Amino acid sequence: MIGFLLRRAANTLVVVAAVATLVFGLIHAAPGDPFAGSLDNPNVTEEVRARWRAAYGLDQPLPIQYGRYLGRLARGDLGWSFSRQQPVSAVIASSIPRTLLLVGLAITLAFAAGVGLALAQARRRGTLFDRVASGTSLVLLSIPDFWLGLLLLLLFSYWLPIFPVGGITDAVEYRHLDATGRLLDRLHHLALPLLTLVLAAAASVARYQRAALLEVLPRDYIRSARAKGVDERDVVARHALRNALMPSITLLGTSLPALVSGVVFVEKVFSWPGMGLVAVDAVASRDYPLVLAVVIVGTIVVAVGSLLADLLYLAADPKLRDA
Amino acid sequence: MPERPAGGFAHRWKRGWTLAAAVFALIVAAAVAAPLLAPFDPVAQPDIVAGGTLGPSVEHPMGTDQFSRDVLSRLLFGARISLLVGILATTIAVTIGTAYGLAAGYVGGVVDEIMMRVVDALMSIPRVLLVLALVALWGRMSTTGLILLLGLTGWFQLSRLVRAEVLAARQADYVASARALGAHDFRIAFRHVLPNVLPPIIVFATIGLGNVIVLEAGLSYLGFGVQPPVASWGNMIRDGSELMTSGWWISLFPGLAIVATVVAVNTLGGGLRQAFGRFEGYAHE
Amino acid sequence: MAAVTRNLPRMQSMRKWRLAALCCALSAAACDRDAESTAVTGGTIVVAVAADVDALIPPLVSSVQGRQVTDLLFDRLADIGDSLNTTGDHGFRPRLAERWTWSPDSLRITFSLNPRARWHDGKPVTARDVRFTHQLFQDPEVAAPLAALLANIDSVTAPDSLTAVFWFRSRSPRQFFDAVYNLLIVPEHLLGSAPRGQLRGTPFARSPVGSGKFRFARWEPAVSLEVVADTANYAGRPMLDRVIWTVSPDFTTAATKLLAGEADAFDQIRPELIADIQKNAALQLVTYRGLEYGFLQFNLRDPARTTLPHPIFGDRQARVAISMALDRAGMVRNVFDTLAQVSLGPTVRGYVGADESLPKIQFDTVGANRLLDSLGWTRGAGGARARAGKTLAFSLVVPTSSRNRGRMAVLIQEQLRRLGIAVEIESVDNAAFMTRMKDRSFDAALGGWRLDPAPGIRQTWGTAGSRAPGGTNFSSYESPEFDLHVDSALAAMDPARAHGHMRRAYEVIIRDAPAVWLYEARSMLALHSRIRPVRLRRDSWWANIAEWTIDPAARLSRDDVGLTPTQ
Repeated sequence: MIGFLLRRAANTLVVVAAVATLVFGLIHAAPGDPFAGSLDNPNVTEEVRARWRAAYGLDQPLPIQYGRYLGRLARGDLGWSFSRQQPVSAVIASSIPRTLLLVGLAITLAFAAGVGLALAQARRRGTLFDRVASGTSLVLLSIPDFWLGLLLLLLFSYWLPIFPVGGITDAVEYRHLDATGRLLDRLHHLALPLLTLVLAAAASVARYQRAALLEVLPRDYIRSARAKGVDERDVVARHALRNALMPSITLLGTSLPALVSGVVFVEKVFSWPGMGLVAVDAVASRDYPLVLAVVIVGTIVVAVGSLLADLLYLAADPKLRDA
Repeated sequence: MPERPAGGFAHRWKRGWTLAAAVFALIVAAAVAAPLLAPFDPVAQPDIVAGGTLGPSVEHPMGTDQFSRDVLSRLLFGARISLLVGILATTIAVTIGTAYGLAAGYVGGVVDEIMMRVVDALMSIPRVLLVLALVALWGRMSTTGLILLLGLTGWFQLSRLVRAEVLAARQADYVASARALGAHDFRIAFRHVLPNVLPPIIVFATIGLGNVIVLEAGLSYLGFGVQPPVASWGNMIRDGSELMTSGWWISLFPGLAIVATVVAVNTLGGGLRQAFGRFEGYAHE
Repeated sequence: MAAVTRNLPRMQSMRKWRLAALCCALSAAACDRDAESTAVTGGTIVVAVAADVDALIPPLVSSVQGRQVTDLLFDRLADIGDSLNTTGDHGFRPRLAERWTWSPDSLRITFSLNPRARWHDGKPVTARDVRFTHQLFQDPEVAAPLAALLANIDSVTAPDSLTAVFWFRSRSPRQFFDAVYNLLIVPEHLLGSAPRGQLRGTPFARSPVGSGKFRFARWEPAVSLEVVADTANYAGRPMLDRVIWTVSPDFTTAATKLLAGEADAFDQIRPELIADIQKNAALQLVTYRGLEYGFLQFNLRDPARTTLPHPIFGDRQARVAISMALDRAGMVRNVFDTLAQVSLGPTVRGYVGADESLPKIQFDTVGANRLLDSLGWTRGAGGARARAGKTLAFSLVVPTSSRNRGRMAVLIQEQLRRLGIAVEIESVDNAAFMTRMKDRSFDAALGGWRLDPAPGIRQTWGTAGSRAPGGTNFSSYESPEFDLHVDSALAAMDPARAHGHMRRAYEVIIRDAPAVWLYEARSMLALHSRIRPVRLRRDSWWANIAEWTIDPAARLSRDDVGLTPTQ
């Protein structure tokens, strides 16, 4: 087990190094530099811009910049963000919990809702309910998530102003609320972005899980359980589900990168100041150290996520665990 | 409904899937016949002062956009671009993914190990971040560039699936017996392995098409999609997203067109998957 | 406006100012005793912005958001008047400086500081702080973005703690403006020991201490920033209790925040919002004159070899033909509704020398077609124009971030298509756009300038900005005649002379058409209806925000939540 974990960690390290190098090359090859934006003020001279570049070592040849970057990275220094004017580590530290909260809750809720729906459908397979649920989830997983977000925003923030337009907390009131009030305020802001992510992801889980359940239902052990007079509810919930969960757990691991992509759009639509927004802004402002840090952290998160999925898979399947 | 997949492909096929295929065929036909069907020139701006952002009417069943262009006509012509981008990008992805997976699975050993590591690395970068970084690198996006970009970033998962099928097929009895009978490696690959990997490729291609259409819309929303004046469903949504409150029709109809297409394509993909008798591993992106 | 101000004799203008200062002091004293007026103090304004501040130390600030916040936290020696006059000291109002005197040769201005002025930490503001601030702005290590604007100030001395003397290199109409407009005074006792190259990493950069009417309260990067009233301020407390900026990642979300009642002020109004705002009883629209103009910019040089003229736009006649082909009034109406007017030239209405009587290139498609025919660009099959086997086609670069310019580009593309010219739109992100401009690697681009009260026209359209590395005359328009008139106008002490030369310069550049002058934006600010704004200044609507009030009868919970009554 420990050997397995070590091997995975080593693999992740190699992948991260490769990804960092690739992205370092890409972003530096892109036209424009972090200070190009100042050209919109005719009073900023080229001399001043040259000083800015020199201050961040951007006047050095690329290989030297890369070497210096790796050197700092090895010491755990992610560099200084030009666009946010603070250490990159501070930017990441403030934004990553927000994204993890969103993604973590979205995965949990989507999984629970998806499996629940699949169970209900499997029990009543072939009925009108089953067909309507299948159709709905098909439509939901086919909607582009940013468009769904825009529609929800239009519906529930603008036409029916029930939910706030964006952000994580109220700009003014939050600091002056008590603990309960703060929690409610956070939930209030969380609702729409979470709903957007959950709707699409739950639909995907439900379709997958329903198909898996229908596959195991005809098997012999289910037949024998039925023959013993076990209630159909229990047949589906206990006997079938246990065996049918495996594919969904795999789905969890493989769909993580997709979920991260979805988060980029959803954070943009709902101004959720997490890693997705940081990524879009960092690329647009050519904030090299920040772009690199976002990609490195994103890659690690995805790697850890798929490791967790594998461990879950092992835990759920005794045969694999013993092997 | 049958509880156990029984009989052949045709037996497991359902009516709903035929409907999905028909819807998709209809959308493709509309795209092909766009010049005949569209009531107006999709790029003409007849009256930029008084003809912009008009709601649906008899003359313009889907209204006009802020440039006074007919939304219905743009929707029809947009179908051409969206489908073209989707189909070509998917073709590129399928070609690369299949070739890569076949090669890795067939050669095996250290080469396979390295090839799969590379795919793992590429797969662990969220596709949107990768595409964003590449778009920034190229500065501007021609439609060809966009197709290449979406194709080149879309094959990672398929290569893994194909490789797995190849490995499974290599160990299968019929391949062993073919080998025992002295069949050539190349012949085995073609006659026995390829037919086995074909189903996942077809399913992947169908679902991948839906993914690409959605991704193109997302990129257009961020402003990196097909360049004006050419209409695509994605840049139509972008045109309308700033006018959500005063001109909802500009982005609603292309949005619905995307949903309809993707639903049809996903139904078809799901249907094919079940008809082929497989459930495993094609995650929705 | 600036053009019509008379250059008053110094003594007379000084006397007037002492009188004005006295009046202010009296009325402030009266205010303190007036119970009804004190009741109007209080309230919070939440400003929706689409980007965070870039820095909070004045010499490092270059973004609008950074300016908004630092203008409230810090003080100048004197404030420019609402007329934005930049000649002499006419219209300027005392701030940190109670009064000032000019030396007989006008190369020295002596500022007398207000002895009651205090930093928010209680320490007195002294002439040493003024000298220190000037040093910071000038220090190459600090690399202040606007350092070049202070080039005419030779040095600042502090003969005693309340006297700061500015020494100038040469006489210029804008000496006084140079000394006060960009120089927000910072405290030496808190920044003096910080290494000049690393000001951004100091604690001060995160929690600045100023002497302005508002004190810094907190800043959560990319989320929000809060300043509160400095109730002990030497110049009297502001009427408001608090100003909060809330950051959204884009225009749409910021706008929706306003419409949904989560924000009180938003200054990036687009035409499509007007109807929504007018329908909303909780909101009001305040119009003020803007300082931005936009244009279709031609590259007069061949992007492949910048020593050669551009194959199409090197010819003035071709540029004029394109100007004639564009229905600018229709385009402005489509993109801006009533929020903009057709631009006169590289300026805005009300600026020195700019008025409706300037010559215009009229919209005339027949004439445009005839002109192109006569230049040899004749129509072939399908209506596309070509000359000597080369089709008349060019690419138009637009920044993705600007929706207005993106929309203009689509309109231009279609109108030129009717004329037989193929336009390819290249939408690139802002960093790439600016780099293409800087490298002159474009055919045509949609550009825009936001004017400062100080003229930047030498840099944006003069030969100086064309040749200098990193120069901002992206068109590479070079006209000795234009340069001569601009230089004469800028050096003129007499407003009438300045006006005459600027007008000549505009006539020259309009004739030469290095760009199609498209629009001049009218600026709008959307405000919650409980807010009573005062004097929106053209260059910065927030300049007088300390005098704004909030109707006590219409307060919301956000107006006083978390504020103690003593504040």
